[in-house]
Amino acid sequence: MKKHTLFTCFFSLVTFGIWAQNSKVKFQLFGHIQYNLDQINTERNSYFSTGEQDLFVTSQIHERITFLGETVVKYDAATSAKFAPSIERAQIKFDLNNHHSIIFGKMHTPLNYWNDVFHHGRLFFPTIDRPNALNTLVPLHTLGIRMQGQNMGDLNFGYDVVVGNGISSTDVYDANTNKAVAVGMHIKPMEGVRLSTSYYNDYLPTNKPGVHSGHSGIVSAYKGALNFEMYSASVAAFMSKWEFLNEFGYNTTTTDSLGVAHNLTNFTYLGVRVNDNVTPYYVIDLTNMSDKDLHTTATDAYKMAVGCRYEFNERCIVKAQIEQFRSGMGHQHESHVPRYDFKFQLAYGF
Amino acid sequence: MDFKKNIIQILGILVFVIFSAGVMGQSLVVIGNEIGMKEMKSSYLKEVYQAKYTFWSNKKNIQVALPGTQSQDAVFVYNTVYGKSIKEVQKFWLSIVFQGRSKSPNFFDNPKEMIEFVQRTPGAIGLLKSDDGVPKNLLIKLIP
Repeated sequence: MKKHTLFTCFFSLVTFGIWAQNSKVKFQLFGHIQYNLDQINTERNSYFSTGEQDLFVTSQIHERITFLGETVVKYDAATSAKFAPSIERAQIKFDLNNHHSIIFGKMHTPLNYWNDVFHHGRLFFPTIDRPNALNTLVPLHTLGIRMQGQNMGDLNFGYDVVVGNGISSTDVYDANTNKAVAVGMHIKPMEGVRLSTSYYNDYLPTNKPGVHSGHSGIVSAYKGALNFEMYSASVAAFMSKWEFLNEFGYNTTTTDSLGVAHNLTNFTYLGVRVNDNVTPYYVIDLTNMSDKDLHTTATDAYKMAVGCRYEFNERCIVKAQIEQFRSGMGHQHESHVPRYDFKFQLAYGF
Repeated sequence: MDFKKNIIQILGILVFVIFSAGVMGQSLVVIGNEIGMKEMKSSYLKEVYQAKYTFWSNKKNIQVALPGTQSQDAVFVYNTVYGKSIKEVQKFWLSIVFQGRSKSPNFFDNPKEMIEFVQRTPGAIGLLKSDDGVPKNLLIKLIP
């Protein structure tokens, strides 16, 4: 309760600050509401859910310095109110010149197109859910320092070099001296097209997921040391008629116990804009985990989905999706049980 | 015979009207305040409005101004600069600001408000359909 009171006070103060100083502060809200109908074997469930409510604030606080904050309020069964705020991004950007800047704070890692571009905004997601790899393999956030370059040359070359707290850390503490390193590069050879690649490395003296990984829902019994590496390559083409996104990821986790585990993931999205408002799409999402992997008890997973997106305007869209999902918990590859889902999502941002 | 003559006359008038409209067609009005230049290439203008730059050559921070969705200038300006609909341009800015790769532009539903904003903001650039009420010192010549 105290947490929520503090949260409310914080936003009241910030809002008062805007009125009082008439500074260049901009507040926006993004969120979504969803309906699910799922079936596993003969068991069916039907439910509505409140999705993440994303308070997004930007401000120019100096000619060269800007602030970006993204605080998400989302369902949390551990709290009495069943909802809890979470700071997803809080970053200060210092522009060195037209193309280069330094960013301090909590940020999304530049791994994968999805994590670097869509963040928590369901309004921007071309589908209802993010790729499965973002729930199991990709370290989503870090808290540290980032050198960023963008829009250089005819190919619009861009880079990101990030040094920050690793997978096991919290928002206020990292229990070791080594830091995680992420390097990303991209080109945008034509409007709507981005080709990117990235690398991430973190050494975990103790294997445990923290707030910066997307792996916190999957707990491994292994608590020893582990070296985590991730390579990714993305092709994104969001054109006037066709939309295509492929996210490939190759992850290795190395332990003294079982050696190197090789994990693979690939997400493919294809959409066709029928007109200005309607986009039917197809998704296939695969994750293949090695039996040697000790970082997570992650699953082999396969998802195939077809859906349709309707854009009322740029600030309100609905998506409907039918999907089949197969996964085998704890590397039990033979025990895949198919789950069928119908999902309907209303996403907004203003 | 008269009927044919009338048709030819009407067609002639139509051709003249279409030609005149083309010659006298509206061109984009660019206004700027302390942006380090008095004329600008249209390709550079497009890049500025695609958020490719942060600073002008005189080191002033670029402050982009655009007609808002309710502005009568919006369709003309968006189509001329981006070749896109209002929705697509709004979506572009919403997305790029959310990514943290650019700061938010300033939208104005009233041209007068945009002119006043540019006038009081060093580094500001704005786009209009007409130069009515624009002080001459703000006008930026657009070079093809």
